[in-house]
Amino acid sequence: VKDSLTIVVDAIAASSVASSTPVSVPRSDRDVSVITYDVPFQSAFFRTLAPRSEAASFFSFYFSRKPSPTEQSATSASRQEVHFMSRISSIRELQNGWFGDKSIAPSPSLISWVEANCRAFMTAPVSIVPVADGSIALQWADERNEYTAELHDDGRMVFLVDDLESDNMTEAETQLNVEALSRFIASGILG
Amino acid sequence: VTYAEDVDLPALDDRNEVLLRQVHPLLYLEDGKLSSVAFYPSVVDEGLLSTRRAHIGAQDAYEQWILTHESSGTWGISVGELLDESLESVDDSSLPNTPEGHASVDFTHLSSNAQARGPLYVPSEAATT
Repeated sequence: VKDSLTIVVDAIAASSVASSTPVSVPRSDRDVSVITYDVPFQSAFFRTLAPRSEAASFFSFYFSRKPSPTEQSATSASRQEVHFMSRISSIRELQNGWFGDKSIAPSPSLISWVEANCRAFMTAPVSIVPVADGSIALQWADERNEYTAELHDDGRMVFLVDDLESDNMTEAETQLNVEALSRFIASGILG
Repeated sequence: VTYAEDVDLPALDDRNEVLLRQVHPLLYLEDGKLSSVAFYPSVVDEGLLSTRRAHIGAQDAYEQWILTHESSGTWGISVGELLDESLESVDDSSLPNTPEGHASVDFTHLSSNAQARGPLYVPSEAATT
């Protein structure tokens, strides 16, 4: 958001200072739409008081207030959604050999399954990671364990729990199904 | 039989040597940490994690790798850290079709140890289906 704001502020500063013309800011972008301010005031502010660097600082401060719980939740969900779609798109572009000569790209059918069934899990801090054997792993961690759910194209699903203290790993295998995956993500308990 | 015994090559023993590993840009978690996938061989790797020896240099290892693959950069793990996990590493660059200064970390031996020890926990059939 800060980068976006800096770009917006720079654009406003440049055009306002140069022309004194009121500047409107597009509100279509999700990250930028929270910006509300009085344009004539800002024009005057830029023109009379602040070089661009100070203007950027002013905006950074002004807009870096702590979001409300609702905003925070929405922002987090949006970030997870963006992460999910970005990962799916990138994984779809992988070719065989992507991570070493023997590595296999996840199949289109497996990617489609993940895209169709795993979007709902992205409200939790779950990451999507391709594996060299062509499977796709969902990974997350808490203070005690690291959790992995490996989704395989042959219909298998392998759950792994790695105890960070003892380094012991336990695993369970089942068939690919959303309910079991959902339970594992929610509870971290095998089976 | 360990990989070192199988290919009749000595295991690396300089605990301070840091082996070099390329990490694909997708092998990071959302919080920016490395995924365990980056440092664990998959089935297609047949239990061998591919690395380069320290003398290759982190930058050269990266630049050679990205001629044919993607990488976000070179990461490292020391021979000593691997030995602490009962993992041997072997310079197998003398084998055919293997680049100079290549070292494989032998996870098959770790599997053998685990196999010898037996399962520590097996969930019931009902719990896994």
